[in-house]
Amino acid sequence: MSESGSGARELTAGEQRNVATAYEQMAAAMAGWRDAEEGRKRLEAIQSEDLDWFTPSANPRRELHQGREEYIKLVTEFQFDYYIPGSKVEIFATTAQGNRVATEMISDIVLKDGTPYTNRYQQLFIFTPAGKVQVYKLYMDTAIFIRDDNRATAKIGDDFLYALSSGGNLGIRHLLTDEATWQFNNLGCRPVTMDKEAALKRIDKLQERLTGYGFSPVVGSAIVNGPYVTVRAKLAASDLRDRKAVASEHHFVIKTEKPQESSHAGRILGGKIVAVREYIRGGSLPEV
Amino acid sequence: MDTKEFDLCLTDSERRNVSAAFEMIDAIRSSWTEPQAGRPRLETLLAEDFVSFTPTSDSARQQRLDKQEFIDLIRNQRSQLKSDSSLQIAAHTAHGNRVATEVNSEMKYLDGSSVRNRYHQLFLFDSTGKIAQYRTYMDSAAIVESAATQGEALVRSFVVALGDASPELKKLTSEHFEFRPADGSAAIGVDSLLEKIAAVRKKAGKFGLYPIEGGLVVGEGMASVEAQAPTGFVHSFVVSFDNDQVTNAIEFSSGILEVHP
Repeated sequence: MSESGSGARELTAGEQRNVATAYEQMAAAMAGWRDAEEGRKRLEAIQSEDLDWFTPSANPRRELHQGREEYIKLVTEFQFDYYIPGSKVEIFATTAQGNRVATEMISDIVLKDGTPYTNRYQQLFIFTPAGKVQVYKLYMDTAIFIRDDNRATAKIGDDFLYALSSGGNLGIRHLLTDEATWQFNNLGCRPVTMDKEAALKRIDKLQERLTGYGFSPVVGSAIVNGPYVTVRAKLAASDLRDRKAVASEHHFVIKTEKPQESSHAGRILGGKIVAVREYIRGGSLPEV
Repeated sequence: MDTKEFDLCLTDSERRNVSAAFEMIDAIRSSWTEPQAGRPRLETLLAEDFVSFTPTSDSARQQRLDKQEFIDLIRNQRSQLKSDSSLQIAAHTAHGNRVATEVNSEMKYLDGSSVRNRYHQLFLFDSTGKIAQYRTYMDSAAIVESAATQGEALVRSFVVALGDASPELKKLTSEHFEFRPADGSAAIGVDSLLEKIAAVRKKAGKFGLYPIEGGLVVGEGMASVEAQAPTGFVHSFVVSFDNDQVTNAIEFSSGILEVHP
């Protein structure tokens, strides 16, 4: 159970019980991913009613204190709905003293959309004299959530360029929210802001007028932060009216609607676009 | 329960390990103020095959430091940190050769920035009581956010200095800085750029660049900037930076020099 080494004292009965309860909490959580009712029952049996559960952070937005009901709901609702069978967490070492048990743990989880989510934790359980979990501190590599959020947001940028280059506009229509706006800044001009329908009409007209209207992303150009993804892409087309080549580099600043809060549960891919701001260099697009 | 009472149950070697964990944190702190004193203390505490790492599943951030690398890292922090930076063990849990410590820190940097963090460290001891492993589980998002904040400050200063044609731009840009204008013409250096923006300012009367709401998207070493001029034009740039200097800027519409030729 523990790589406690030589010189280790024998754990008291209470300490052994606490270690067993820490293992049971994680087993009960996994049970909740398969069978919500069983998970709830087992967690209620070992967690104090006034459980304080949080990820320690100096940032109050990340150190959200939640209670037993929130923990049970996370396990039996969100994770039950979104994790595939075989997803697991595994405690690989423990350190117990008095009413405290520290556990090192690995998660290996796959969301139902196929996204892997793994993390490394050193949790801290603090127990009541009766042996119930009163405080559950989930120390973990929180930057994983930023990486996964960024990946999910970057995917929206990829989907956007792919749809914009598809020769139709249904893909873009699907990606934009109904209230989405599109601002276009042609070279040397003031910005023009369009609503969704006007933006789609512009794309229709550009597709009619330009042969090869499509964008090749500039490799490594994506910048992601919070709900924003920006990407550079090259357009190489020709104008059907005068057969002149149209070549330009575009910079798209895309605002997504995806909430970007860190979670304990991995990031679901997908999401819509609420605003696009398009800039251009090295050329200009015909006014349509 | 105070620490002494809490530790009454521990064996002698377990108590020695707890003391060593506290001593290590103290030695790290003293390395920031008295490097001559900190280094020998760390040398004594750490096993020859010592390894330090922050457990992560992100291969891009995996980093293992051996004894000398770790001591050098701590020593080098001295040149960046103010002496009133803090690192404090709040609570510990010990059994056998393992000591887990909850730690709070506030790193105050000489540039005025600061980062607070929460850690749950794990010390693994060898049979002689030396620290063999130091695993730092922490709120690693705080580190990523701090880097982004520093990048954002640099890029914001760059854009403002650009709009003002301020000589400060020279300090903010690297030796081989390049500006690639929106019209696709050849890249120019900082001196030529300053001259051209100064000419624009002279002609336009009032000119400046002010990032629009949501107009700074800062990633690792790269940022997207959208800034509005008093004329109503929005100017966009993709800026690359390295450490504390901007290395190049690619301009998109509306080009400053197109709008104010």
